[in-house]
Amino acid sequence: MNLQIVITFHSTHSAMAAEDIFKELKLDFELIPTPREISAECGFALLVRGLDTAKIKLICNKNQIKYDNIYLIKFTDGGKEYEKSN
Amino acid sequence: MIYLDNAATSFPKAPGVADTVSRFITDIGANAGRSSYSTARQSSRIIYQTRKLLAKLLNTDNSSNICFTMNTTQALNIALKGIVKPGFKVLTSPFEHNSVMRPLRQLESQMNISLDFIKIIDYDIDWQHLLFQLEQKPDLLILTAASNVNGYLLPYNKIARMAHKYDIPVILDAAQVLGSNPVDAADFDIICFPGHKGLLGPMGTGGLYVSEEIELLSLMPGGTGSRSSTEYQPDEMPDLLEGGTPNLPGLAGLQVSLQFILDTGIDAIAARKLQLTSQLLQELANIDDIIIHSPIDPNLQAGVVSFTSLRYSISDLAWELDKADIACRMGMHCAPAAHKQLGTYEQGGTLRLSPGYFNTAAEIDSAVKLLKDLHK
Repeated sequence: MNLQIVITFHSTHSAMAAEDIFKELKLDFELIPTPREISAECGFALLVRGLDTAKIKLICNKNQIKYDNIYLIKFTDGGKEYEKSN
Repeated sequence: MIYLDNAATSFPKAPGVADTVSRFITDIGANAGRSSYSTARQSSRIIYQTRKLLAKLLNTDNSSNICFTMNTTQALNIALKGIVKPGFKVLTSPFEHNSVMRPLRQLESQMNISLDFIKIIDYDIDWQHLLFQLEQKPDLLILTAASNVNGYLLPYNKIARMAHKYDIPVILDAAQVLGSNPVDAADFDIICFPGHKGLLGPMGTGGLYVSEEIELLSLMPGGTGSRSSTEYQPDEMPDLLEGGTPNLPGLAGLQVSLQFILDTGIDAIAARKLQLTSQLLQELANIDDIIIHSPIDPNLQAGVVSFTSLRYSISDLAWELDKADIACRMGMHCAPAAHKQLGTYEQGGTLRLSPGYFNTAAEIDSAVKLLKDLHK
């Protein structure tokens, strides 16, 4: 499974708080420059691999992580699209 | 040097602070919250971790409501000017530093606020009168936790609890107590503090905790790295109050000093400070012609000793201490209100010695010996 999720945040503090929790949970993630296709709000976002949006939402809500949006990366021929989760 | 001016700023700093500040500048140096490259990530983590340590010290889970400033004065200005509205009635104490009094006096002339002062006689609060004052429903209570002039430790928790019974928001100026006395975020609406005094961190660091119930205006809107597509300040904490590049080398140092304080324990720090303060007070009390202007009772002390001499001016005494390489502070200590309360205003203030965690009993003995010799 090649699931990749991008999470954006309102503030650096929230992103750092999420990073802390994800580290604890040993998730496969990294801090990346926020893809311009989805947001110009914050310089960076978290990319999480191997979990779907529902699971990410569950983790965020359970741990009171304040996020802006969650996007599923869809790989297309020669590119990628970001599908916003409702 | 024997450094006895810890009420102004602590010296030396906690172990590792200086090296960390230096290493940040030489090895990291990146801005925080703006980018995702490795050193920028390190900077963002430093700020985040420092906030978390402060939250632990203030006994709150809400680290996002702790904002960094360059000192307590900036924090108090953000608090007061972000909350006070025209015509506000503000209750305060007679022991406030100018970091509280000057913004209040400014707001008095600019916004026509009125000031009322808690009555304190010989370190006893007039509780009956305080109840009466609270019944008048002031819009705000701002209170120092301890006097920077003489160490008088106000019953700040009890006063805050009383004010909250009347739904009056309370701002605590914790400049002289954080790092050695317990301050619980749950007991206050705003707590303003320095990083460079009791927290044993670098100058140019400080901050304020703001409870969820309080809405402050941003006094210094600017770049935060967040919500960059809008020209309006984000309304989320901590970004609301943190425009511009922070003092990252300082905050890196503060992270180390906070860890030192949490590892050492504020009780152990307070015990050391009080032991040295009691030693100083007892020795000074035995010197003829020295008049102590500080509470002697350790329960009323945050570790600051003020005195005058019947034989010497405070400036001559300070000069003698300077020559012996003993650091003190004389004069008004930026707190004319407190000196008026103590009756030392007209004579130009007092001489102040303020021990810190790293002082020794032998250093106190040396300072006392010099003063004893001068008064023989």
